[in-house]
Amino acid sequence: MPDDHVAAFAPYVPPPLRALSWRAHPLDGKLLLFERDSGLNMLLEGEETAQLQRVAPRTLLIAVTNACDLHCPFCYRDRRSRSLWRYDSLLQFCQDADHWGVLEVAFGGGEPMLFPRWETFIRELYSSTRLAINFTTNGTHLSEAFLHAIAGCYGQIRLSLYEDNAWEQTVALLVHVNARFGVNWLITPGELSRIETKFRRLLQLGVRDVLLLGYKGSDEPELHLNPVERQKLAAFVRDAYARLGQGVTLKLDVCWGDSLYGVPTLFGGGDCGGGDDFLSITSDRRVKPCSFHGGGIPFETFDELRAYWQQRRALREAARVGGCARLPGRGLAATEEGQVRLCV
Amino acid sequence: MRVSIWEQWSGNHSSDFLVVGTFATPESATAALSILREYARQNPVGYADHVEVWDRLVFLWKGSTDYPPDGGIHDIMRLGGTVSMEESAYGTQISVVRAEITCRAPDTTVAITIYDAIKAYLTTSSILAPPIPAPLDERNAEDDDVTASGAVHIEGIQVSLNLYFDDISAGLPALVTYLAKNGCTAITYNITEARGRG
Repeated sequence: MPDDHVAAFAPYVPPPLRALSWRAHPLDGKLLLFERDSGLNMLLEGEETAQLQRVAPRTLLIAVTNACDLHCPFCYRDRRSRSLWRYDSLLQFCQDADHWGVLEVAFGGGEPMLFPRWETFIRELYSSTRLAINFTTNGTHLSEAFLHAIAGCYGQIRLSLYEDNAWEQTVALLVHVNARFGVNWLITPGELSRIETKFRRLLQLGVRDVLLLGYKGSDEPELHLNPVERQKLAAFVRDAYARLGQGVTLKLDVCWGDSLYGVPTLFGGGDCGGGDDFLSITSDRRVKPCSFHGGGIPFETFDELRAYWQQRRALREAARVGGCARLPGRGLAATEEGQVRLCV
Repeated sequence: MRVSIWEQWSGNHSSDFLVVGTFATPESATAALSILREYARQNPVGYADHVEVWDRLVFLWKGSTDYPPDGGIHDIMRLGGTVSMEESAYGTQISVVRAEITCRAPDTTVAITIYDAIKAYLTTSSILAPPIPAPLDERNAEDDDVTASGAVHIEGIQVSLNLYFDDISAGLPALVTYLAKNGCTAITYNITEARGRG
């Protein structure tokens, strides 16, 4: 049992960290310990962990609703999907995930802030499970009162940066209330041209966690970075890390794969983990390896979800869209003119 | 066994402990300081790297260690102080010490001036931005930079702040001096410990 793992492996935990509320998450041949309030992870790997086998994904990405008040052209969600989750059904689903051994839930959508009684939901989910609760938002509905109400009950808020969502005001609010947050920044060729200026502005505002996302999709190939642009982005990341060190957390979308040459990483390359380390749950109760897969498999019961994971986790299924790291060349190729061509 | 530790969320401190002991009076804090310094002198390994006092507070630091300064904590309690501890390890802030400060400005104009100055500072305060600027920072110019984050609130002439200082032993005295120089009275502070980044 995972809790037994915590006790058994406690001697390997450095003394100042032993008092934390660790949760064990067996992996194949390793043991991951996770503490939801600090976000601290500890990976143990050796002869003592060789017999362990993974029993659950680490994270469920859950679209709590398909409703959104913005209309971003690059949004990957299926606008026809229904919003089937309700307060009680979503709470029960997450509690089942907690019992299964899932460590974190990352809510998105749609806009999670539009989910009825969202504040109450977060607090009840935190108090009734051991899950770390994260959500991605466009920020337009965040308020000081809401952020105070959920303080201590969430892992991290991810704020998406868009042209039309007044993100500077939202960042100021998040900093003001000392919220734990990071920003999600879609790096398109247009954004790349102003990346230094905007990054500096983010730092000035108090942002200390930046996730650099790549476009995934086949509808608008001009939003993908070409090889030269990817080199520029990699150079920016290397330079930012050299200048700022651990003062700022720079995160790279797993979908970049190994396409950003020479960037510093925690563990080097490897598979993105879609379908194994994490699953994507849609607003109409379907499960997919990741958010960018089309379709998905409908499920009614939690046992059906568990069976899906057990049967398909090893398949390493690629999303059939440009930008997926599991496709050769991420499903992209360069034309003689240096433009991006889809080859999905 | 290979052990890898990382944090998913942000943190910007090294492996350190800061213990803040709050005493009833400046006199009892000063008395405790002498005793704690003597303990530290007798136990050069494992007790505390520095012990300082300001007003009713005693600050006890211990850095680059895997073990909290239990001896110092127990001694502060035994001497009648209450303990708040700031702890970080492996780049992760496990707990922080925050200061809740209240005071009464001489009039609403001064209250608004103080609010604007502190609010402007907090809006831009960061590890990359300037430290507490004059006139907030009343310390010597050669002192290390101190930054703060948190919130300021005014209601009439009543000013309330809830702040995290990256060095509370320097930042809190500087702020209290700033408030006093602006004519504020009834200045109080309360030290709290919060889990995570607080």
